[in-house]
Amino acid sequence: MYKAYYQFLFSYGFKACANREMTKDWIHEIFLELWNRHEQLPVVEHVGFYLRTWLKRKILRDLPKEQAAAAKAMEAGQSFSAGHSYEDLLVQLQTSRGVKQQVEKAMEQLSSRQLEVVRMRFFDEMSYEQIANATRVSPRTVYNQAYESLTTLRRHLAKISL
Amino acid sequence: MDHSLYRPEDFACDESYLRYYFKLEAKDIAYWEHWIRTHPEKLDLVMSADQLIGFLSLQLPEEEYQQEYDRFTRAIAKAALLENTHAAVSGSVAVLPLTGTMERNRRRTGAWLVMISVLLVAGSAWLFESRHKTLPASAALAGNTVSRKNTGSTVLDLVMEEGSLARLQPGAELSWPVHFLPGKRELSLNGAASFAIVKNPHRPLFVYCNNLVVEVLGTGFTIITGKHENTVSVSVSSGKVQVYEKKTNAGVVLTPNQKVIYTVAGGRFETMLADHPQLLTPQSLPVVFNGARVYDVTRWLEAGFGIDIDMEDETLYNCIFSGNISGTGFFDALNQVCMLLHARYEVKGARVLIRGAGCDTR
Repeated sequence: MYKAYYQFLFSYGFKACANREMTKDWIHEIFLELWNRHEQLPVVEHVGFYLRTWLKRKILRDLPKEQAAAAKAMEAGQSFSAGHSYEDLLVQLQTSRGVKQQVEKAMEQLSSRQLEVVRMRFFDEMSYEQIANATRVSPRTVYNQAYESLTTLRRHLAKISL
Repeated sequence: MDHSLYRPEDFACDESYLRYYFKLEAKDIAYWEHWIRTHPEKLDLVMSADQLIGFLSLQLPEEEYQQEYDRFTRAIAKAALLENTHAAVSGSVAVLPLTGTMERNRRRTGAWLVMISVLLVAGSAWLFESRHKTLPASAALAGNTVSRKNTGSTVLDLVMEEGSLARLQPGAELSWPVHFLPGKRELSLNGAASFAIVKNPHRPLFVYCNNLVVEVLGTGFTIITGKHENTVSVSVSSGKVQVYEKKTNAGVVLTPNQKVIYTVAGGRFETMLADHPQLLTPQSLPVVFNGARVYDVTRWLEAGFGIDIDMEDETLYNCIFSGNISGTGFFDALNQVCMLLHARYEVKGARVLIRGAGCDTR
């Protein structure tokens, strides 16, 4: 179960607070608590949702006020990440400086429209349909934009293993 | 739909694939799992796509994820240790009864024990000169050591201070220093035992079995078994292990599903395939090939079991194979392929050679 839900929780946590170490610690706590008390926990239909809510509670509990506002905004379905842009987060998440620079450079290759599409698809988790509505173009165009962006990114990120 | 021309970008942009990746819809999950299984040759493209998606959706990089996973398993090992401590505890180890709590723990943990496992048996006849005296297992270790011997008739489980587990067969004796050195972990063994070892590249683990040293290099499952009194046999099910003579440093490196038999008398190492090769990563899903080229099937087997497979007549690679090899062992799967090719396989050392007449080409 750790394997199945870890990254799912991590993206959620990291998007909310942009802090890698805290997110890791929270998730570690959650799984430890699960491990220790699993007999006492209620049977849950939607495990993912349950875990996400648990993480959200931890975030709200532990973060200073401004960041808690960010988490609340996330819950309301808006995209927010404690003042960090999507590209910032992508760079932040990498560990080595060399890789960080490569990611920065790769992101620079995208036009602002392309970046927007990628962000909406992978960060905000919107469907092409939704993105199309938001940007007033056809879903087909959105798809093409996403496709081109990914091709460009792959070309520039090819040398590093992600 | 034909996805055979898909590049990684296509997967990463495909909303159905994304739903599979993020496990959002059972239908998409089933579809893509099936597609991936039936197109093993596309596996590296799929993996590139997955890397790309993981990157873009702000998932933790693989290495760090592994570290967190290790951190977690170490923590629960510690918790298990505290839970089950018996009165008679010496040094840094608690003795756990095999049945009851340990079994329950194991069922809960599932894969946490699947790190490195080492089963080590050495014939006792050649350990000592005099019939009456047994060289203590601790002889190989310097400093203060702790020893436990299994005087019972069932296995005895021991947990080390950092969470590694040792399971001693009846009659076996294990020694270790009161505290592991910061730079390495050392164990000394007489008899037969299996180990589940917590991965730590900064602190390699050594098992001394008389004049043999088994150095545990990587992660995974390693099983070492000894058969006769004058031989020690070491077999690896996953990960990497180095087996060498203490004095001469002569030895071999074993990779998954390999086995070496060391004969004490001649100081000889003979490498071969493990008796029951296991899949390096267990597959819970069916493995079905449908109209696949034998080339791809053998590549899959090679990757899945870490065993090199050579084809004497390479034209046989073009034969088409359809079959279900889920849950079968390595040799059974190999037999299925050989049946198609009117072929036989030969094991040469740790490699397999397929020699056959051929298939009906359609």
